[in-house]
Amino acid sequence: MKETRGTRGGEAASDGQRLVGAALLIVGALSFAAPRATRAELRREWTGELVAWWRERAQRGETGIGWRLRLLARAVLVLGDAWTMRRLERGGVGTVAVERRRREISMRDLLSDLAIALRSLRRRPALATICVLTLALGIGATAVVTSLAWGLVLEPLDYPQPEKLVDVWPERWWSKELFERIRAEATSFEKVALWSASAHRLVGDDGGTILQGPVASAAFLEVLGRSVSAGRGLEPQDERPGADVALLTDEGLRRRFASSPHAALGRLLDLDGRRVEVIGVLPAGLDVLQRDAELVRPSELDPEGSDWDANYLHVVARLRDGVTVEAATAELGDLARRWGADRGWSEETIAEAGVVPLHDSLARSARPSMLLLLGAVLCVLLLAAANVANLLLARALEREREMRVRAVLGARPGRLLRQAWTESAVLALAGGALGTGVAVLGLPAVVDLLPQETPRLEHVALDGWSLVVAVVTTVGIALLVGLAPALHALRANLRPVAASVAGGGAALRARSALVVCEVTLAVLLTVAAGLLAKSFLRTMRTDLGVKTGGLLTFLHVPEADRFETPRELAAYYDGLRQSLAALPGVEGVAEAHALPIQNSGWTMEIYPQDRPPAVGEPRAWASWRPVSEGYFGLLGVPLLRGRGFTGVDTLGAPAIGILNRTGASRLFPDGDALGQRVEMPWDTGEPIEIVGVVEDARLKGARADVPTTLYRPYEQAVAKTHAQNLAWRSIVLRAAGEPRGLERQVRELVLSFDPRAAVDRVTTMDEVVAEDRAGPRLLLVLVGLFAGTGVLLGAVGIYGVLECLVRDRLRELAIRAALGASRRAVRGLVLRRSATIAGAGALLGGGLALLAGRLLESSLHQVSARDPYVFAAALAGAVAVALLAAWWPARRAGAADPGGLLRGE
Amino acid sequence: MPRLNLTYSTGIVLLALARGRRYGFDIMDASGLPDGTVYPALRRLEAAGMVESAWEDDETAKAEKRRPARRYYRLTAAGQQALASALARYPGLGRVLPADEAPEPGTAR
Repeated sequence: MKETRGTRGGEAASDGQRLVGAALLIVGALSFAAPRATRAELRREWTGELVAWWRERAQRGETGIGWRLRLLARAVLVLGDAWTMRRLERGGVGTVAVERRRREISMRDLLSDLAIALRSLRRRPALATICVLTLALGIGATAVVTSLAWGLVLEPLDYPQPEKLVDVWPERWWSKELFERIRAEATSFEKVALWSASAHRLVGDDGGTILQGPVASAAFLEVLGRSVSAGRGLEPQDERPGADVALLTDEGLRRRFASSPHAALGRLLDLDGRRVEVIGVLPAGLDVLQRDAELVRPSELDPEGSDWDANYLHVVARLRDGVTVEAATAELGDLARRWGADRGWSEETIAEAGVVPLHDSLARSARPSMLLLLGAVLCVLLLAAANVANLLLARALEREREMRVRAVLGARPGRLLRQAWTESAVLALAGGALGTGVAVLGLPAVVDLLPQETPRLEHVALDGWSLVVAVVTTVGIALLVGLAPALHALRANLRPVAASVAGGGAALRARSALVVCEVTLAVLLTVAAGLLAKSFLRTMRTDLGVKTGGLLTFLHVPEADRFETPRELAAYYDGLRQSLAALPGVEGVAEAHALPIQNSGWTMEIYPQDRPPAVGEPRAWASWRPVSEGYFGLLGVPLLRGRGFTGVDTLGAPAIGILNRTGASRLFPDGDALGQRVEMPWDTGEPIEIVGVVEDARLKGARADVPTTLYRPYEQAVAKTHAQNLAWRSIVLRAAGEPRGLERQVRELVLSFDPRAAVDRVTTMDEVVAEDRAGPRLLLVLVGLFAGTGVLLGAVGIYGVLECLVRDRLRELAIRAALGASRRAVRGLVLRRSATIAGAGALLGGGLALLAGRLLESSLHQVSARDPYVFAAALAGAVAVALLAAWWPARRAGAADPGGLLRGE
Repeated sequence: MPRLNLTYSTGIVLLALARGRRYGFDIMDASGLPDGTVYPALRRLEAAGMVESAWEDDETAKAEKRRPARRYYRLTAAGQQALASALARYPGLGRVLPADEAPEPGTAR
């Protein structure tokens, strides 16, 4: 969150500068009210005054919000002086005192304008309420969405010269070996570092806990452009094996050492089974690229190490001065070609080599949905504005007579104009106030609904500026829109009082046009919401291939170095599993290296033993999933062929594996996978015999494709790398009742079984699935809400216009009825009008929706952005709602009593 | 020289200048006169020869604080006379403006 990022002197100063800049812009704009002869001089004088005034405030430290507002007020108030001078110039002789009297009168005018505006709004409470509510929704939604977009996508990274930070070849998982090469060979970078998000097991006085923190090479902080606030940073010697040191982040310092660097520096932590010394403390607010990170550990760069050529790391770099992203990308392409030559990289692989600005790389996942939301929110703002315009036009029509009378009695045009404006301003202010409330309450709710792993989520805070922008935009739109009725009033003013109601036709046309716009926007939003809804339903209906109900899961981390052989580890987990299974209410227990949806697990190269890939041929990859006995049964993954894992599949026994259906057909397209052997160089290296085929499970969530998956019996799965990490296991329990109800019992049992083990991420599989759907669901909820508003407003607009039409033409309709037109014919007239408006809006909206498809595409799952059913439904819906809205006015028209009406005239 | 109608607020502006206020905003702050009065009054007084104005030395302002120059005002002899007659006409005038110390040139209150 913002507070944690700390304020630095420089930030405040530049902030003040921006403010003064804004004030000067205001003065520059307002000075146009002054007489031309003195304008430039006045502007210069006011500029000098404002700057000097703010400097003095700043010197005294008077830069709080009150003083800022006062600065802006000063700037705005020059309008009074400019205006007076212009009037003095025009009016010739006058005195200040007289001017003051005039100003007082205009103040009274303003109050009376306000009273008139409130009175006239009160006369149409329903429409005024709808106006205020839509404005509030528009403003609130704009503030929320722009705050989100700012925090997730737009806000520059909080590092010095953030534009020089690049993610190096983000598509690639780097190995330490390759990192050594880029560090030695690349010339584009000032500094380059490797890093990887990681979790660590800390044993304290009260047992084990898991804490988050990246593992990174020594230059990591230099790449980010920051340094430690106490102690020392990472040095090249810390990359050597056995350098048991760590840096604490502010979060870690706060949680573990009550924010005292003195208490922390030099302390030894029992971390990952080693004694690790705290050598430095990082400044508050430094984002180390991993959420909730409590520490940063140096990466061991040991060519003898087991993971030297394992691909699981990221590389970030700071560009050298004057080197562009394009130049660095070109260099990386050359390097990739050289490296790829002896590694058999395909052309496609080499072609992706490049650097991406770190900011783009972090914001990439959120960008499409943010663009979609910004578009939707823009529609809502426009709708709100069109609605206000509509209301005001209706009012102008009603008041035409009154306006003319006032004009004849001597009201000046400016006065009439201002009064029309006051009404829009009142609406805009009320909407703005409510909208602020909507934003304040809405943003935390929206953030809650977002998936917790959304990058940069912690940077989202309600941005004061986005609120200001939303309010200013709406007020601006409202004032612009207010211009229409005001102009109308002015024109009315020029016509003689006795003029016919012919002007009503023009206004009605204007209103119809506005309503067509409203329907257009509503249809656009409805199509978007419909597509998202269909996509979401598809997601919901997607069979995950796993029965998630009733499953409780947690991450169990024992002391890894306690187990000397895989057999010991297996015996430990056998014991734990049996104890857990014996708990009342537990129906079954299994372990997995990575749970479906929750963890991505590891991906390894795979190929049939008899068909190794040729040099330059694309490699095949498989999700590598060690699981325990009973896993498939517990998660409801059907075994299609062969057998499951049993207790005999130990390390000494022949290496076996189980493929999923997709993997079996991909690797062995023209034969039976059963009994075949595959090679996985990153596993133990032995050929693995396929003993079974299971049904596909959507391991990466409902929206991702099913990967080739190779399951391995846990005891045999001793990967070349991270052997220790295989001690960390996700444990799944099937509960007879509510799975969360088991949580306390399970924790107690684990602690009694192994007091030094850590339990983390206790959750249910249903929650894991819900989290996977959180993003699309939020998008659907927001866009659906906007669409609902759009439909309501469109209906209200149509209703208003037809009401007006019927009222205006009641006489004509009555005459028609008197001349023998049937009620049905008269009703038909009104309904046709409604259908015309709705049809025009629907076609326009549908067309726009087709054009906007690209914006939607990446947020849709298994639904085309041009899905004909959704389009047809939205269009038909629009016409149906329009006819519904027209029903009442049509009835009224049909019921017009010719006799009474003609007599009444 | 155009004739000047000596009003109450013109008197306040004169008095503020006599008490050492030198800048427009400063006079507004000291006198409490609303926007739309002080600058027009200053212009009128200047046109009537009761006030003269000059720009701060641009170079000093820039060298010192890197800010744009300010325009400052002071009473002329005619202005002093006008103030005297304003004080005679509106005896309460002196009480409107607190008689605090004249600030150093170049600093606001």
